Formats: sequence, structure tokens, C-alpha cells
Amino acid sequence: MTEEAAINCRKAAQLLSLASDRQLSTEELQALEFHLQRCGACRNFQAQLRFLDRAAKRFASR
Amino acid sequence: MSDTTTRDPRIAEIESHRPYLVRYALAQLRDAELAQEAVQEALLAALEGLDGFGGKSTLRTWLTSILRFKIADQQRRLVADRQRLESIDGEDGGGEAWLDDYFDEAGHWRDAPQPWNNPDGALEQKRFFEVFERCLDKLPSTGGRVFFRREVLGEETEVICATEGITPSNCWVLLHRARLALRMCLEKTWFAGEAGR
Repeated sequence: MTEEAAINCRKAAQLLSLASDRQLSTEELQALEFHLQRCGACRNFQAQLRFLDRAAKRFASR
Repeated sequence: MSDTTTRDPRIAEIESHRPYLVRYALAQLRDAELAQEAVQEALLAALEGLDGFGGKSTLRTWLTSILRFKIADQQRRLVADRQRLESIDGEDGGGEAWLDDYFDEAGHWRDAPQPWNNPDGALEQKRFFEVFERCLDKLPSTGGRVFFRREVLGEETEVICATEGITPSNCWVLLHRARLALRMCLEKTWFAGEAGR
């Protein structure tokens, strides 16, 4: 991962959300993983997106 | 309604699912009046067929399956209007200025997400889902509808884009925006408060 390919939180959050709706490219996945390894806030966001997904499914079946 | 059904305690339970069913119908029909009509027809049909509900699925699943037929009826009536796609309420999804609410100029979180306390526990609480529903109601209408179809109903993004008449990239922007807003709402109204502790 080069410095040029590094992404910020804004882009990482976008990719995390996008990953719920379509397959990310290899480049997108690499950039995202590189960012997540270094960013606790985005890891929290990732966990919370997964939670939203579970909550929505549970909401439908209540 | 017959005397038999008026005495049935399941009627109140059926009625308690009305808000969910209206939301479901709205997601499909995009018209409040038509959605209310479809739900009303579905609930009447459910009451008439209550004895046929064997409890093999949850009551909500059973009611939803009846509602689907009523929605399909409404949609057939709307075929002539299919080409007239409504505007997406000014949420054109093209600009990204709204992201400035969440991220600074360098692209860092303005308010970095912190871990939530006991999210699994929240999923077991009725009160949490009341909060969840209120947060859904606060989403902008198109974004909220797209999110509901995608996350709650599990529809494919391509299908949602096509029927909403928006491009895939606008669809993804709407979903991302809805997720950020819903996350923020739950954090403020549940996880940061007493309930989330």
C-alpha cells in the first residue's frame, strides 16, 4: 500500500457502506483493510453497520 | 367483523402490526393513501381468514404475505403511472456536501464512532425497536424508503434502483446517507443514554 493509495475515514466509511450493497474491487478492499488496521473509529463504524443490518432484519421478523 | 372474531384476542395483536405493515406497503407503493388502503384490505382479509392462520410462521410474516397480494393489486392499478417517476425529494445524491456534517476537510470523523455498549442486549428489548422505528421515521423520505427496502425487506439494490428510477450510484449514496443518519440517531437516542448503559 503506497501513501497515494491510502484512504481517509470519509472514503473508508463510504466503502464500508458500499460493501453491504455490492462486491468491492480488490483495490477497494486492500485500501479499506489497510485503513481499518490503523483506525479504531472506522472499525467501530464497521461493527455498527453490521449491527444496523441485524437490527433491521430483526425488526422485520418481530 | 363477526362476533367470533371480535372476541378473539388475536385481533388486538393483528392491529399492533399495522404501523409495520403501513411502512412495508409504503416502501412498495410510495403513496400513503394507497398504502393505507392496501393495509386496510389486508387486515380485513386477515380477520376473515384468521382461522386459517396455523401459527406455522409468525403473525407478522403471515400478515405480510397477505399484504403482498393487496400491494400487487394496487400496483396493477398503477401500471399506467409507472413512467411518471416521482422526484427524489431534492435528495439528488449527486453532491457530497452533506458528508461535511460527519467529516472534516481532511476526511476525518468530526465525532469519531465509539464502541456501543451491549448492542446484542438492545436487540432483545422491545423499547429499542420503538427507538429504531422513530429513527427510521426521521430519515428523509426517499432515503428512508430505500433503506427500508434494502435492509429491512432485503431487496436487491438493482431492483430498488430500477423501481425508484434512480441510478445505482445515487442509490448507494442514499443508502450510505441513511445508514450514517440512522447510526447517529441510535447513538444519540439509545446508546448514549441510560438505555444503552
